[in-house]
Amino acid sequence: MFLGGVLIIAVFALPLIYFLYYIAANPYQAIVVNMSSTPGPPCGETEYALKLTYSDPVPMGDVQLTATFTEANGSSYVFRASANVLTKGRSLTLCVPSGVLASARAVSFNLTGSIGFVYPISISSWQHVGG
Amino acid sequence: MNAREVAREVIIGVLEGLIYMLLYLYLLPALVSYLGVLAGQPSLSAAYSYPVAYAVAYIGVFEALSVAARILRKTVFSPIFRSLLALIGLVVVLYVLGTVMPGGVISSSYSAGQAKYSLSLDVYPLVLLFVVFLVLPGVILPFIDYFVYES
Repeated sequence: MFLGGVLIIAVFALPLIYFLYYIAANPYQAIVVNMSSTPGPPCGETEYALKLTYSDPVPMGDVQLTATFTEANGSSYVFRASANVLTKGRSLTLCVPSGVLASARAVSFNLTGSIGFVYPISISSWQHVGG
Repeated sequence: MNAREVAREVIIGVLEGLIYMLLYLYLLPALVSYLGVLAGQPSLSAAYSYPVAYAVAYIGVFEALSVAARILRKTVFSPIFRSLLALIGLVVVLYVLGTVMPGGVISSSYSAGQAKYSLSLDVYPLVLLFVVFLVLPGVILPFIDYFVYES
């Protein structure tokens, strides 16, 4: 019984250890390997498709991605995308109007979800952009 | 119980106490600390550097309860001592968790140029699993065992 309990805990801890081990080996670049912005499909002709590709081997469930573009005058635009699960190589796409990208002075991303559908996680980034 | 049987129970009790001690004082805290280090927390030492007085007290308590539970195993005190072992183990793990990652949350931040990144990971589900699969059985089962087999 005692060893059974230890074994169950070890099984549930494994995805967490694997996830963190992958992050430790590839700090932060591991989560977002590709943040590409291209005009056109799957978005409209005047929009850019911002694509976040997940690359950690452990699946992330209940994923929500929020991108906030802040302009020089302080106003901001918020875009959201969500997915039930993200696995290695799968992407989330945000359609952002080109005008917002052109006038933005800072952009922040917030990714929330649960590692292995068990451990809640939140990853945030903030960056100046040239407009 | 003659002297030979008492000696045998003491030896088994000491060995059981050692297993509990290794699990609760070193293995589980090491797991918690290792998770913190992987996520960029500063130190692994919290899991191993108990103040000497605390370490001696914990080891003494684990061994004493374990030996007492073995010697008194046909009395109602045995399940009480076994339950205490599990509860003290929980206290130790919560103490280490509070030291390494307050609130059961791993937090880390990172800067590269003008970009800033931060990560927050809640490991409390792991503590709940620990309580459900190790602590609760450790508290309840000795009593069930006693009342089923000794009553």
